[in-house]
Amino acid sequence: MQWLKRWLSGNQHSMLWQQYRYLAIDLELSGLDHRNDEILSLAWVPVEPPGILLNQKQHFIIRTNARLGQSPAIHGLTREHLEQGVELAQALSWLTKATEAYANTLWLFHHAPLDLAFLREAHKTLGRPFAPPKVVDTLALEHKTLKRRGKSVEMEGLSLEKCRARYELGTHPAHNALEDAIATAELFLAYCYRNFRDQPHTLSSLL
Amino acid sequence: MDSMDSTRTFLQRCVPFDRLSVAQLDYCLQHLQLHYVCEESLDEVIPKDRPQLYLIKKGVFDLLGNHNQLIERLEPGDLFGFPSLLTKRPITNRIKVLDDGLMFSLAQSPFDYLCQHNQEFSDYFSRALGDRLLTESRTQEHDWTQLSVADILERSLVSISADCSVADAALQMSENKVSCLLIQDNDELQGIITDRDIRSRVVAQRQSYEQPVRQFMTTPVIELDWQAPLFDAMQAMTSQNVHHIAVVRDSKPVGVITATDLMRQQRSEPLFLVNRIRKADTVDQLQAIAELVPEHLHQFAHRVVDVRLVGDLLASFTDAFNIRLIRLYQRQYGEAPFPFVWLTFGSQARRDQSLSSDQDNGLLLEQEPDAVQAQWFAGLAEFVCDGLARCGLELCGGNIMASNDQLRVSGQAWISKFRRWILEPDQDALMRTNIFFDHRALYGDQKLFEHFDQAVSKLATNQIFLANLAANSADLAVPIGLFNRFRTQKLDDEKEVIDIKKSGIAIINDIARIHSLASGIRDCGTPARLQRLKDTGAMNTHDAEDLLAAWRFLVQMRLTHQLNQKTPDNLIAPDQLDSLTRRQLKAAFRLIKDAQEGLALTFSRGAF
Repeated sequence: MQWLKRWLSGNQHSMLWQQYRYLAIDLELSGLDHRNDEILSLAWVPVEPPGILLNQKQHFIIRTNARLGQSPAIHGLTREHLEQGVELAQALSWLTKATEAYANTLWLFHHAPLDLAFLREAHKTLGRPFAPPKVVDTLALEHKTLKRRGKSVEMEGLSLEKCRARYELGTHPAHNALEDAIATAELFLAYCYRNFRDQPHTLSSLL
Repeated sequence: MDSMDSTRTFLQRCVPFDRLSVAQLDYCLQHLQLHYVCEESLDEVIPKDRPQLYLIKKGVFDLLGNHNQLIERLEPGDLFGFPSLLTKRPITNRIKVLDDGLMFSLAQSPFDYLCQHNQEFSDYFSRALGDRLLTESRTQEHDWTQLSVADILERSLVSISADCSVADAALQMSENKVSCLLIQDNDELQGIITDRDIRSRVVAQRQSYEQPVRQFMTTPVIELDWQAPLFDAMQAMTSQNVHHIAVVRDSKPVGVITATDLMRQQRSEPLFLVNRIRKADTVDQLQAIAELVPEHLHQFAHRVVDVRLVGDLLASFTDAFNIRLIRLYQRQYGEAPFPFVWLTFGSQARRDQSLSSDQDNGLLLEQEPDAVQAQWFAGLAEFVCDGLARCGLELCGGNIMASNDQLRVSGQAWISKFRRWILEPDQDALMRTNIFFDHRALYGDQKLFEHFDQAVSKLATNQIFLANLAANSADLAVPIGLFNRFRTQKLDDEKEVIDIKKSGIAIINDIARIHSLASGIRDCGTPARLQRLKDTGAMNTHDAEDLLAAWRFLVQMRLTHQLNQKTPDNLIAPDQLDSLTRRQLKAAFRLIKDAQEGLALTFSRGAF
């Protein structure tokens, strides 16, 4: 019945991609396993093409007792940082608010599956309903584009840094959630404006 | 902790943000927006009605004034937008995207807040505003192409009589601190001698410097009227390959201008590029310079008032490439076995090339070469034609090139070719040979060329030949129909276009050529021909001026059109022109049609 619901609600994806609002989101994690590892920090920045609304950025360090393992070296987050952080539940409710504040808001990640798994797990643990909006994934988009052009995905690489390099966006100091969210937002805009130059594209080109 | 460390670090490296206190920088960071800037997003990022301060994070952009003149090339760390913020004047400048990128913006109120709270920050922008107003007025006024030769003539005349000794000349030069002397007797210009001439023709040849300068001077001297535009001086230098030009007033010499004088005026401009062409040592280097030419023309087109000059500049570049290639060949394979002339035909000869022109050339030899000599010339032709192709002048589809051995022959052989074309013309040949009647000696022995040109000119007055040419040209359709409507052709993508070269410029070229051949006028460019036809009364003043105006209009339209194209063509879509331009275009075609009919009438009697 999915198609019927979609059909009845009108063609939701028929607006131009520039007419939507996107939240570029990034998480820093204590590891890669969403069942055992934890969210250390959470950041987002709204994107209203061609603008990145830096003044509405949010960045939360999560209060946690997680075993940090190797990650302080990566994230620069120390025990003190984490102890001064906010509760995960608090941060998630801000995220929900930021998402629902405007109609037609989507989430934007670089490599969505990992971050989504952690967010889903966190909602479940806290007993909160998890109803994410539509998700745009710059890694998936780049993957598709590279393959369509007959490029070797392994050779080219799909890390945020490699993808940004292909759009001549320069290096950015990685591994701070907010910096990565902004870097993802920049990559997203470069991807769309460069690849969609020939004709107008609707949101369906991004999903 | 706001974690925007990279943005903070970036700002701290940009003047005047490096002057802000930590709290002020925090404030600034909270009010910044970031934008992706490309052609498509430009209008949204930089709204005309809302001035903001912009700071480039990534990418390259040109800031252009309201006459499209380049004010500043903007790169990461550069700022713009502050004049409107400070003066509250409407925005008049605009941005052109060279490389897509990212920009920060800061709105009026946070900008004002920072100016009020930080004196250094505020001072920086008032100073920058002052500088900007200066640059803007300077770039508007300082269009050197509008200057005349007299404007840059600084030194007074230093001259010497032809009978003076070389030693006297050298003494004069060092006393007056000049690098050249004009040589004149009784106010009549005899020649010119430069310090280089003394070095290479006297000292290096171990000649006595008690001999008169007459023996070593260069003659005749290229001269220009003191009121001639500076651009003519540049063209004369590049086309004649000289570094000194005598300036005359009422035919009396008043001074000399040198290539250095010109370069001082232009700074980074065309003559520099021409100079680099002259000094290139390999075809690779020439090719690298050639790749800069389109960008250079673009920049130049933005800066000059008269876009037609861009066409002249292109001609100068082409000539310079061509001459340099000949020299490079000579350097490698030695001097030619006997005198020759490198001929150019068609648009290069007329100096009205466009960005889509291909090459048309040939070699005029003093005599028929033997096998060894022929090899030298064949090598030259191949080297130069290939080299030109690498410099962006495509090989000629019709094989009208010196590399074709039919077009690498003695004067006699050339003349018998022309005789055949003129006396036994068929329709097909007429079309193909038209191009040979526009010829110019690009390089080589002037006397040789003179004989050739004279002979061709004499042959071409043949009435039957001219009648045929005229009939041929009269058959070309001018794309204006009943009720003054355009007759367009449809392209594959349904676009309705007009080829303004084939059905406009080329027809005027034909008309000017046919009239000139009939009157024995030996100029080869269309404007020069029309001018001469007017002066000699061969064409009435009114017609000549009208045709010239139409020609200039079309040439300018083509150039403006091509400068905005990746692959230049001659196809104009009339429905995309504004109404004034459309009316002008119609008027131009109307004029061409009238002149075409006049041509048929004038020359048709010869056919019977």
